[in-house]
Amino acid sequence: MPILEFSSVTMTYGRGRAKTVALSDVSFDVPEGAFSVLVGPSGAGKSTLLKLILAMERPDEGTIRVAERDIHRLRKHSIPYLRRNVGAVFQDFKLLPDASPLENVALALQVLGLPRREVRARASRALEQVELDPGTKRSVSRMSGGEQQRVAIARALSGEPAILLADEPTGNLDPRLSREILDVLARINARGTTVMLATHDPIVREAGVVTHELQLDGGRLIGDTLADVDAAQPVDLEADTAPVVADAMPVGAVA
Amino acid sequence: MRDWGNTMRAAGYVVSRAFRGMAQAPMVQLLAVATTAVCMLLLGTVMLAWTNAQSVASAWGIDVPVTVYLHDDAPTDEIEELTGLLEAIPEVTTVERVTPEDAMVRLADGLGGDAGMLEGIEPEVLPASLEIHLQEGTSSTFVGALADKVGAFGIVEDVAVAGSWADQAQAMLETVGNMALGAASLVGFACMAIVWSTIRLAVYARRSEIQILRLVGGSTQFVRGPFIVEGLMQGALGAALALSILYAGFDTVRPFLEDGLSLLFAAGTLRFFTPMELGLGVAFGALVGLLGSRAAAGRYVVT
Repeated sequence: MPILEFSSVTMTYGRGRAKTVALSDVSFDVPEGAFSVLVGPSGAGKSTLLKLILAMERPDEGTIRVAERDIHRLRKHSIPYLRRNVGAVFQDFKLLPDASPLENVALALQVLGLPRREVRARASRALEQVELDPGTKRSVSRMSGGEQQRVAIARALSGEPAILLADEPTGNLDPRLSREILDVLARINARGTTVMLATHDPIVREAGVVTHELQLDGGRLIGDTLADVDAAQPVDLEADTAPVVADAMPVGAVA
Repeated sequence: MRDWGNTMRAAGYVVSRAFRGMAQAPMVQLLAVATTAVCMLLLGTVMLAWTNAQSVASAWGIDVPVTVYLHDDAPTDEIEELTGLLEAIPEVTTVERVTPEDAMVRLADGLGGDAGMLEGIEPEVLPASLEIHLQEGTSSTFVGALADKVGAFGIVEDVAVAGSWADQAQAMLETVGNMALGAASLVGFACMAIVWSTIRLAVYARRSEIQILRLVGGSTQFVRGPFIVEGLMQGALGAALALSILYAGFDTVRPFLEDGLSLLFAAGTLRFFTPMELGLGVAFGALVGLLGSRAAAGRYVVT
């Protein structure tokens, strides 16, 4: 059962001469539990696609379904509920710089109105999942890029989302930290969370964790390659394993 | 079904975040509250002047256009008959019967601290009367004709009609009332503008947090809430501060006014706002703050 479905989605920015087609007639499915990667050059439409899933933009045409719900038929007041089920991680982390990791993660749980004790317990658990100390009082601005991205991942995970979206999560990190972050994402995926990652970092494709690859170019989907989801196992990122997708059977290529 | 526990906890977060937000920029808050208080002080002064002008007018009886004084031995049934006849006239809004006892109580109230002077005086020395209130805009010709007709009744000793001075005083009172309304509107807008600009600054300073809250699924109310509460607090605190200053000023000036203008202000006529009026004043400040912050946060803090 696909957890995410795009059907003939077209999205443009601007009007008249300034009109830019960000996505053109894009259709694909992401199976539940997949480690999906969106690849393509800058301006290919990767970020726009993620924004559409988060209902931060509306498509001009087509439908987008998350867990079988057409998200663009949602009423405005229901959009926050969608975002609670779709965790998001960004290249620039989007953290409160003066707050501690625990406070940053807790923010996402306070939105849910959970009791203080539960907020603390779940935020601590999420930080432990990304191998960070929940007790640290350091503000995130004094942490390394890799640690900050872990905090952002913990925050996205804390609400136990069905899908975790990551927009260039390794874009600001050196190769070693990029591998660490990928390792974290692979482990999250192995626990059953669908991961969708937009990147042009070659490390991601080389890491051997990807089970589904979508290739975008100029707003068009030019490749949709799916591997067996069961093949998505935690991998030793330091090992020289062949990418899972490389052995996959193409399920559709859109010109 | 809505989980009220979660809703209440989210509301608790909104309020605590508002207080933290205020603590993060204390000087800005102080300035906003002080400026709001200055505006509210202006409004409070006009309102207090109006309230007291009304009270003086009432004490002087200029709000009663026609007073019918009755003979001491006027039979009750005839008084009731006259009252009924007067009440049937379309221009007459109310007819209030004032017994000698009522008149004595009013006189004692008017004398305030000097009411002891009335000790030993029987209420019967004062005449019973009927106070006739007329619809706004009733012509003086009609009032004169009414007075003549009522004066012809056997139980009537005398009829007093408020003269042109009373009309002028009434007109002045209405002008002060309109000024109070105008001041309320102007001050309302001024306070809203102050709160609006302060909240805009807060929204700008916390734009990253707003973006994050939107991303993690914060509802519009959750994201906007702290700013709305902040504006509401600014308005309410500004109004409370203004009323406190006004009270201190009133308390200082009151004896001088009562001594210096004793003819105009019979002792006890001047009064400060009642607790209910004070509550309404603070609520007005809170409402203005709420509207200002809603306008500032509404446009920029959306899901």
